Amino acid sequence: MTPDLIAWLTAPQDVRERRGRMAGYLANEGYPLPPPPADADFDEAGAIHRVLDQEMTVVYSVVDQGGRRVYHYVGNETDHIVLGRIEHDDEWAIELLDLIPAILRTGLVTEKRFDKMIYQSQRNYRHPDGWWCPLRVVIKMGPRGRWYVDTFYPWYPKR
Amino acid sequence: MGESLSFRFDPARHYFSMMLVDRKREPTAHDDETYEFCLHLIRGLRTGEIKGFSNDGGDLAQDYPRLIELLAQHPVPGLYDVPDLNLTDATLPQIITAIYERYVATRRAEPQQVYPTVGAQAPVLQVADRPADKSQTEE
Repeated sequence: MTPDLIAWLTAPQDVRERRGRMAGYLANEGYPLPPPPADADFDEAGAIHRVLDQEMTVVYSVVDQGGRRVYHYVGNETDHIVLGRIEHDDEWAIELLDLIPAILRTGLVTEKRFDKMIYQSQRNYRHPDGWWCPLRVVIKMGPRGRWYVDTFYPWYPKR
Repeated sequence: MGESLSFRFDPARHYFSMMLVDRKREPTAHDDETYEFCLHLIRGLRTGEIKGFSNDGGDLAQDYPRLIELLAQHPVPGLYDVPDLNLTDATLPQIITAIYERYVATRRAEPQQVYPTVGAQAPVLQVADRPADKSQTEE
């Protein structure tokens, strides 16, 4: 992945335009962005929260297995998760982004701190070439005690 | 000359991402436990080779002292060039120390994404000979 591609993907000022560029690139690569998950709570969709010194728009929220309400933001998904997956050649996992709510509800707890949790999917997921990996979701506690989805990535299984 | 790494830093979350520029493309996944989630080795699924590094889900401001300890215990071999940081033949701890000193400890970076640019070079950096001790790095 060339720095020029990353610069091009992130050039638009508006997050929807950046997301559109990334979606187009991914579709060409054969990894379309999935629709929003059906098993999430959309009651607060569109609400604005201030997180990481930025105003973030809620896509959905999920109550995780510990009873935490965890928010998922469009800016974070676009500019951190999707961009990171493209940059790291693990964009194959983007097709599975809609599994985040299920992983938060039923995943294994890999790491637990007062302000951060790491969940791992109970199932392994198949890369198109045949490799099987579990997925990990990191949630963090932001200002005002709100939890949010920080990142999502495929885990490299020990061999 | 070391292997060349691309570089991206997000100051809001103290997140860095560095990938080998001339890597062979293959699907990858993250080895995040070797360095206690402070550093991810991005590994090729076919070959197991390291393709790059990030601290996804981490926070360099919080994790830096522990990460340097872990890198001393589990060294990553190789020398790398990071043109965006004006570093050549640097070890991974030297690179991470440079990122920490430039973007975290001195808080010189503006609160916006640092994306790759074409043709722009960062100012010359002094890379520490060894990691700074905790008293110098904790906030």
